[in-house]
Amino acid sequence: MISCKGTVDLLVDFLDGALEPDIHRELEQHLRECPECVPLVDGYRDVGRVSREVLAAEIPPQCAERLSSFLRERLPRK
Amino acid sequence: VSLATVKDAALVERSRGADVEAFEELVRRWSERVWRLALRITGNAADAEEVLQETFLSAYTKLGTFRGQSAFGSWLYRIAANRALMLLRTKRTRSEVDLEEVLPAFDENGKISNPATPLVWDQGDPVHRKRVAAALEAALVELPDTYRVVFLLRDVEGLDTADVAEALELSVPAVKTRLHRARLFLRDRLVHLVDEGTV
Repeated sequence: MISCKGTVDLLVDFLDGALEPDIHRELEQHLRECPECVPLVDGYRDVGRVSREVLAAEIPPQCAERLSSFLRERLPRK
Repeated sequence: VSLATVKDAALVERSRGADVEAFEELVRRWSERVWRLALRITGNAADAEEVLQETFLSAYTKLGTFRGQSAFGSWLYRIAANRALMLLRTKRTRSEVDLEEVLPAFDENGKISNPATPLVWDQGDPVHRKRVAAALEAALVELPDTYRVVFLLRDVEGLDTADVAEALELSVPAVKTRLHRARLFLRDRLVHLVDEGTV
């Protein structure tokens, strides 16, 4: 059976669904049977989603206007 | 036909023919995402704005080199990430964290040594949300630059691994390693900073 370390080492491919099916099943089984790993894997999976939500930011309108002016001065017009 | 309904690839073609209005539509479409990426890489608004402006100017002058094999957005992110990284290199003074210190510990059988603490995320609580945002911003600053950029492109901006590898001129395994360590590090920091109430 795959160990905790083996599971953690394969998390990128596991969450991408990029593992061979039998290895993927082994990891799923490990996570069903190992309560120590579950919070780690859940947090690992959630950190991207949480980041997307809290880092969402709108460009300040003045910054967008300055970008337009900057480009208007530099881009050649027909 | 309104330019707003024209696909990126067609706008790129028209921009190559010196159709500035088509390029301005691409700017409208992508400026917020480029600005957000630049802000999170550089960590300050003034640098992010400089990166934003230089990225679009550079993109316009380099449109002839865009081959269309990758999406326009990935190509633009590549320019922005490289500009931001170059800017950081010229003014970098902050020290980076040793990622080995936050990797999970295992015993000789590969069993996890200490049960992991759950990551608590209460989206509906504005105070909690603010603390998580502060913890995350502080943790991102600590990450080595290329780890931070890999995480931002892959997990925040949603590029796939191959596009991140192409954008940063890294191998796919190198992207996966950086992504893996960045996720472990950020998870660890979020769990502890929020848990301890230090932010």
